[in-house]
Amino acid sequence: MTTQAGVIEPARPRLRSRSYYRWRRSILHWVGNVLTIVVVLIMLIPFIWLILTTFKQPVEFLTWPPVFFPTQPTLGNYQDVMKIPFIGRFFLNTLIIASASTFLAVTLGSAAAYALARVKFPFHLNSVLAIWILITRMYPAVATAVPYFVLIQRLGLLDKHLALIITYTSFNLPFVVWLMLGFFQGIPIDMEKAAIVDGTTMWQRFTKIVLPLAAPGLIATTILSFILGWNEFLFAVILTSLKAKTVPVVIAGFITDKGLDWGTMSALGTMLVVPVIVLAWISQRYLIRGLTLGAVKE
Amino acid sequence: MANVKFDHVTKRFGNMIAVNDLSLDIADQEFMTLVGPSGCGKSTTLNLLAGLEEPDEGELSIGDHVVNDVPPGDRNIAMVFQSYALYPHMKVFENIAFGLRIQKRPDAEIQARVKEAAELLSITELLSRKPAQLSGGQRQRVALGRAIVRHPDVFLLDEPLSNLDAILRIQMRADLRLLFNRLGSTVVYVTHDQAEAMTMSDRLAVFLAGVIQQVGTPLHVYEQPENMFVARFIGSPSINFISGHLASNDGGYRFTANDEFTIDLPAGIIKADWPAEVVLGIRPEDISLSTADNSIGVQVELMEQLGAETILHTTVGSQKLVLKQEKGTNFQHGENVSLFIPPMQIHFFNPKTEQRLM
Amino acid sequence: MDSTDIDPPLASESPPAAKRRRFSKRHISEWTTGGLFLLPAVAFLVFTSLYPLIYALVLTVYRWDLKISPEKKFIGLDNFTHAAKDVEFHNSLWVTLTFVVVTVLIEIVLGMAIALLVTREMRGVRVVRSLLLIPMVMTPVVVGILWRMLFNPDFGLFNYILSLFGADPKKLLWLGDPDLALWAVMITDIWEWTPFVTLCFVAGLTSLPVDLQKAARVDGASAWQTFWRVSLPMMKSVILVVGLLRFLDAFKVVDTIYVMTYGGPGNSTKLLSFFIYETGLKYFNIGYASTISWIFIALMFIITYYFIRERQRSERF
Repeated sequence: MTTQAGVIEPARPRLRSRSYYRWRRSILHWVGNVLTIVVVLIMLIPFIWLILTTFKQPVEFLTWPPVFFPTQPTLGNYQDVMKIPFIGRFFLNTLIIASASTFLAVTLGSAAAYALARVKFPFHLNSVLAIWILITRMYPAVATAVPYFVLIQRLGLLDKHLALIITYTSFNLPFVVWLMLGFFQGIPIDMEKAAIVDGTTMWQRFTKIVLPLAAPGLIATTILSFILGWNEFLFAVILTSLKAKTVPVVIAGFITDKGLDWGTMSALGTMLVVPVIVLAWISQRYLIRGLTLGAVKE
Repeated sequence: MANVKFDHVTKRFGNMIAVNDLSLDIADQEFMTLVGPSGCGKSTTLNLLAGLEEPDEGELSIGDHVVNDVPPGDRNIAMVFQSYALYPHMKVFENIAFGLRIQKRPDAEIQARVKEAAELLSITELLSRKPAQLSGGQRQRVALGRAIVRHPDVFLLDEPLSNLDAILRIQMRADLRLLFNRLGSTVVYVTHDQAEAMTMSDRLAVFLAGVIQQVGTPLHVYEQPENMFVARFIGSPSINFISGHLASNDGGYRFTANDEFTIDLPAGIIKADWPAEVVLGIRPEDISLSTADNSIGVQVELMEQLGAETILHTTVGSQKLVLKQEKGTNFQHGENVSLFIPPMQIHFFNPKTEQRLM
Repeated sequence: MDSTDIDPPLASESPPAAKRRRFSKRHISEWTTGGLFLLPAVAFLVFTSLYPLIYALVLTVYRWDLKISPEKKFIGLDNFTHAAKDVEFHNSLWVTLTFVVVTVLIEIVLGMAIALLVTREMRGVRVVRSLLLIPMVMTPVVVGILWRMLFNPDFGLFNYILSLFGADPKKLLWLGDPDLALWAVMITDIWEWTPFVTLCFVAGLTSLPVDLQKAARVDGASAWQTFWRVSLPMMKSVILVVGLLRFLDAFKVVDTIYVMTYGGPGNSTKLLSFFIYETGLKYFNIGYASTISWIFIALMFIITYYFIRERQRSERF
């Protein structure tokens, strides 16, 4: 039926049989599932292989075709890890440094972000500071590694925990400030207006009203900062040697010209990585939200 | 254009039944409105018709073809969404032309048909703009244009007027109806606004909890509501309900409200097999002010002056009664007035089943 | 809320008369308190970030090579002219550029493809999403040693799987082959970071208004057409941001290089970041390392500027 004069009657879409459509839908669905499984396998297999390797006998590392499942599982590799001198201390170092730098970064960063969100400073300081904090994230830390090393050396902080704690705090600060700034700006100021009228101080409003509301952001930044502090390698290797050494440095130390001690290395690597994975699993909601917040507007 | 047929269609979401054994026939070129409160299943029904959801049971036909499993694009339908759903990154022209480009129609044809639709809706000068630059009313017309240009068998509209301001909404009611009259289309329209449903439809279907309560022309549904829900839903202000019981009286009947007043009723209105306990329904516009014998004394609580008419909220005992009066009525708060309820306008309902008593 | 825009913060309450006097008592007390909130973080960053940055800039005009002498010597722009002629530096630039461009492009394409797979209606979406986290949070050093093992030509899993598809493992030396080593490192990086890109795209896709996809379906678009013509254009802003983030982070890769190839074989995997580390902290040619660093930093600023400008443009649909 033409509705207006002079316009051709459009061809209608071809209606095919119902079973055709049902089949097409099923097949597409199954193909999608298969592909998803393939992707998941690709993500997982290296990791699983790593863990399985830690239980293999040394002989099983050097076979072709490579062994996937250990035939005679052994805890020998883990025992070898325990035999590494001071290995306990290195784990402790990693934990202390990661925790301390996280604490510092999150507390200092949140406070700074709050001030930037709520206080209008003169001379456009708000924008200047925000941009500067953003810029520090842009270039690789290695670009300032050399003068930084000189600085730490002059302060006598080489191979001390404090050196890395300071370093990682400064790595995490820009991200914490940026993320928490976004969170704070998203909290309606009306909540604090009532408190202002009641005569509270800024610190009281910050700790009692705003922080609890921004808890998801705090969790996300805490976890991400901790992961960075736990995983960091380059500055750890630059700034520590014996006393404040962290586990990533130990692992890298296994790479020698004499070939790799696959077993011990894998075991140590697994021990380093598993806590972080567990932490990430538990906090995945917050973690993912924190990671993607920058990319996607909520 | 085509007719639509729902044949015992059921749709579940998990444990909830959204649409329950729905059977409905919509004739070719009919303007059918699905109306009801939020969550009643009307939008789901529309989505089933569109092919955005598939029924769990039953058959759905468009133009005598069963369309279960057929994807939306192949059903030759067009839909206008409450949010208009315009593609923000495309100009208005491309928005309207989108469906045609998907069908790979020749460019000349696309130009012609888009222009045609734009002229029909008076949006020709907007064709090169982007949706973000348009007002709500303009966006709605673009959404309509996108639907019209495809010459579908059935138009589906999901609360298209809800996002417009009040004045525009009322104006658009008439405009839409005229538009679809001109196109001679089959239209399925979903709304929660009973005034829209009444003024625009050829027939309307009242939904509650996934079940159709009544189907009929607006006037029929208004004058003969089949149950208390329909009576209450259709008509504004809502119908007054008075609980009470019937007893014979002097050759006729007497209705005693649970409070203090009574209404005498002639013999022909009540049937013998009716229960003693009933709910009496009377619409505000049917109540009049009168000091005749059979009147009820009430106290004025509130007056809503609409200018063209006045709505009086009154109470007698614990019973509230709302009535409409013509403009210029003016009472004091607490003033006593007399109301008359004409027996011929009364709707009786069974309080247990909520069904109309005939 | 746009995170790369600097939102002007909310002005504090003040009576209209006070606004005329910008430095009222009330303002000053607020600035002081706010300043105290701000000070520790700013102090930290000045000390650990700004100061070394400026110090490095100063050092660019000095020759300070600890192998030669512990003293600095002013040489003007000689470091820069040396950099302009330094073949190793150019090689690093080229390797880095290849690495960054290839990995980011592949990560974006793969990330989007996987995001599409994961945003369908399927059971176990939560599980898949959490599994995606694993490569991202693993210590990069461990990722490095893991893949080093996987890439072992004689005993590694990677070559084995390839041999099942008909490849000749003898020819694929991976980390031992100057032509292949960079590919090995890129594959590792892609494995490690595609999940991040995927998660960002999943967040982006799920934030798109559902009605638009419904409208496209009703208009007759297939799933692919809906994606290509409707969803993807609306994701442009997200893609740019994620691309930028990955781009910047790719320049920072050092851990995996250190552990997998140490820059080799030859110079085939000597990314700029590694080159700087080697020059400054292994060979202690501090002045030259600072120069390279600053050229690097300047490069980053320019790229970031263009990216942000492009994103501002795409914001206004």
